[in-house]
Parts: sequence; structure tokens; C-alpha cells
Amino acid sequence: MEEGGDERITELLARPSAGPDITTRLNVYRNNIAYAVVRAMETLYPSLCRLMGQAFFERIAADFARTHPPPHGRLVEYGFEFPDFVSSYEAAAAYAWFADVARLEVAWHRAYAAAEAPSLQIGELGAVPPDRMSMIELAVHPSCEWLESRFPVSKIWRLGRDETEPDAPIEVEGGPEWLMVIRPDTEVEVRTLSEAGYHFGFALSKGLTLGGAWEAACRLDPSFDLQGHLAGFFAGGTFTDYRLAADTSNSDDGDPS
Amino acid sequence: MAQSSGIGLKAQFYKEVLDASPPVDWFEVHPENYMIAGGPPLRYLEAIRSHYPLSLHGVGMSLGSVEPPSPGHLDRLSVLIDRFEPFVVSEHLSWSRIEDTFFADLLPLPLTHETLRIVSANVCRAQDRLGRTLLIENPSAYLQFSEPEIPEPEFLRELSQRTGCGLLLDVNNLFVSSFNQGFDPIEWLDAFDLEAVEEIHLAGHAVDQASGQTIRIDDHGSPVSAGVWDLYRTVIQRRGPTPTLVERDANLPQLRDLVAEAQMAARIMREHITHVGDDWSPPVRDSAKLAPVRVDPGT
Repeated sequence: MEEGGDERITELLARPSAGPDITTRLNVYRNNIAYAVVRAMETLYPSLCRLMGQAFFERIAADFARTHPPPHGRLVEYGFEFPDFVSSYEAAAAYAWFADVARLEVAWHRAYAAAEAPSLQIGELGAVPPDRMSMIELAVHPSCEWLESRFPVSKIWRLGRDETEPDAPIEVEGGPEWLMVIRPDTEVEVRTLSEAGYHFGFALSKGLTLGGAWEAACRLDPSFDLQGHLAGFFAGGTFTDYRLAADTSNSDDGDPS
Repeated sequence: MAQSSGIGLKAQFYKEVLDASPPVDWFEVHPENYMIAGGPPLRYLEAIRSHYPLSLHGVGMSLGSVEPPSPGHLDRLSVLIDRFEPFVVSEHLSWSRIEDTFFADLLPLPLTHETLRIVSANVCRAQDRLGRTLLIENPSAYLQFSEPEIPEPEFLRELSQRTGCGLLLDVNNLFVSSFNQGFDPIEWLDAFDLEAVEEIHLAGHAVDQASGQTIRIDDHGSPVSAGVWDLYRTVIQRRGPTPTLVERDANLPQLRDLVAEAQMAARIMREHITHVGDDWSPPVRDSAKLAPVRVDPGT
């Protein structure tokens, strides 16, 4: 509801016999609408809100709400386009990492509210014959989210979330991060991966076979530790199911070297 | 359930409710906050529901919109009803949506005959899809339309008769609206169908000043005010004990403070029963229901 259309609205309204004028009364509704949306954004972006400061966050969230009003009444699923809005917001241009903190908070929220699924244990792959291992396709947990950032975004995000001083100052240009966000059970976990480990997991999540994902990882890191990474992903509850890809004659996934 | 009282369940209270089992009869939540695929909120609600009856109080159906309630919204609500078996499901006499834009507030309707037709059709659609009756709540209002309107209590009475829906009387909303619009809440109650009331809401409101004029704002941000408790006593004297909820959405106090308010409501209902004697029984509605309201087997 934009201000300025008051005349057309007030024509439809009864003049109050006492008490505040019509504009004051209309503003109660306007304030309620703006307040509800900003509160929803604050719930979704608690770390960003603290990093930006309450006043600036409320201003940018209100600007976002004007151009992106909620399309439905489920405010728990509103505001996911905010990171892109933040990245093009002129007054925040000096803080390029704001948008990635917002992306991490979206990933966190999606993981938090994702469907439940029991995790697959690595021992369950024991039924696969060794010569078919490279043909395994793994279903990743429905809560699994992937995020690459050119900033140490998880460190910055934790700073805003925990409101505690870090052990050492955070170097904003201190290198990229590759993150997996997942909630295998009750707690959302933000895991920092190596670049090759990230692309290995991401490739599996896109449906590549174990052999194909290994190949992708080895392109980034020729000494990529397949066993170690796979064990790590399994221990973290990353997968929910597996199947064997159809064996095609030109498939040669098993040997990346 | 009649003399029972409950409180609105906020996420901040999940753990304490499970650990301490506070002495309230039931909890109420906004279903929209649980229209998600999974995660801790649904797990907590399920755990709490295994110990307490639950009421679903919707804020997203926009029954006053010209377009019918969103089928997707009704589907999601239906899933929650199947999963949590609430003893009542309620919504508001208001609108929030035009096509794909949602205004996160309960906006006022011109209470005309046309609006009555639209809201009645929407309530029927929702009740048919959900397979049960809804309770419809009087919203807090800050302004009135200039068209000749059906007075709000008559509008709600007619809506209930046309659709079989029950009514949710929000005493704080009535108090706030009557002050802001300058009408007498007792006259409003005289015209209202109290027999259709199956739930009562109580909450706090803010008293604001705008250019030297006082306006009362329904912000659920403070304890229930003395004036609202007085009006509640009047309602209970007329209606008899009715499941009563204490709502609080801002400036959240300790859980025990909300429990104390819910117990205050229960005490007022008990005093009423003592006053009228043991042979009191709640008034019975004669209008047929679409479907019986499912009552929690444990109550």
C-alpha cells in the first residue's frame, strides 16, 4: 500500500465522528503490514540484521517489501529473493559480502524447514560389487544446500549470529569458502569444505555417478581423497538412498587418472 | 472443554512447554507458520500436541477477497488438520489478498450485502474442502466504510446462519474497535449471536496518541487490560464458560505470566458457574452443522 492514494480511499470511508483522522487510521494498517513483513525478514536474516544494524536492515527490508510484496500468506516462505536485492542495493554497495551472508541464511532456513528423511549408512553400500562402485548414484538429503562464496562467509555469518567477538579479526577478503548446509536431524549444520570436496558433493547432488563426481573432484585436486571425503559425507548424514546407474558400453567413470 | 483456557504457542516457548508441562488446557498456533515440509517447528508441535489439545487459528485465508480462498492454501491447511487433529479451526472476517499480492494484516471489509454473499461463499468453499466448520473472528477495526453497512454483529450472525460456521469472539478486538469507532460494546453484544460463539480471544493492546487523539491498537504486546477483563466477564455472564485463549505476539513475557492470564480466564468462568449454580449448562445452538467439530479424545 503506497501513500498518496489516500483521496481515492477516503472517498470510500466514513468520516470519523471523533478521534483520529482517516489518514492516521489508514496508517495503522500500513504500519501493521510493513511491521509484519520486516519482522518476517528479521526472522529469516537474523545475522544480516545484526551485521547491518537494526535501522539499516529495517530500511532495506522495507524497500524490498515494497517491490517484492509477499505473494501468499506464508511469511515463513517469504523473502528468498532478498540476497539479489541486497547485492544491487546502492547504499550497501561497499559491503559486497552482505549478499552472501543473506544467501547463507536462506540456505540455513531452507535446510531448517526441509522435509525429514533418514540418512543412509555407508555400510549399506556393502551390497554393491566392487567393480560397480563407480556406477553408484546417491540421493542427497532433502535439506542439503550448497553455497560458494568469494568471502569467508560462514565466519562473517557466525559473527552476526552469535554476537560474540571472533578469536581473530575476520579478513573480509580472506579467501573463498565452499559450504554445505544440511539438517540431517534436529540441528542445521554449516560445513566448510575444500573446493574439490564441494564439487564432489555438488556433482553427486546433481545426479552424477560416484565415478563421475570423483573425476570432477580430481580435475580440481589430483590427489583428491575419495575414501576420506565419502566417509565424511556419510558420517554427516548427507545421503538418503542409492542406486546403480545403468551400465552403458562407453561408460568409463571408474578411473579418473 | 467449555471452561478451558489456553495460550498462543510461540516458538520461544517450545522447549519450556515440553520440559515443564505448564498448567494450561490447550495451545493455539497460526497454521501458516507450519506450512513447511519439515523441521523443528513441526517436530515440536507434534510433541506438544501429544500432551495438549490444539487449535489452528488462520491468518492467511483472506475470506473477504473477491477471489475464492487459494486451493493450495486449503490443501496445506488440510494436511495440518489431518496431522494435528485440532479441536477448532478458525479464521477472520477480513481480507489480505488481491491476486498474487498478500498484505500481512487483517484488512477491513465494507460490510455490505454483496460482501456477505462473497464471504459466505468463501466460508462454504473452505468448509467443504476441509470437511469441517470454521469459527470466524471479529477483527479489530480502525475505520469504517461510507456505504450503508450491515452492522458487524448482525453480519456475523447472518454469516453463521448462512454457512453453519461458528463464531470466535475476540473481546480485545471488540474493545479496541468500539473505542476507535465510538460505539457501545454492550449494544454490539446485544445484537451478536453469542450462542454461536465457540471460542473467545483475549489479548493486550496499545494506547497510542496521534495528533492529540487517542487510538487503541491491537498489537498483542501487553497483558490483557482491565477494561477487556471487565468486558470478558460480561460475555461469560451471558454466554457461560467458553474455551478462552490468551494471545501474545510482541514483548513476549515469561511463559508463567501468560499461564497466569489463562488461569485468570478459567477463574472467571468458574466464578460464573458457582454464581449460577450447578445446574447450568451451555446454551445449545439449533442451526445444523456441516460436520461435527472433532474434540480431542483426551479431554
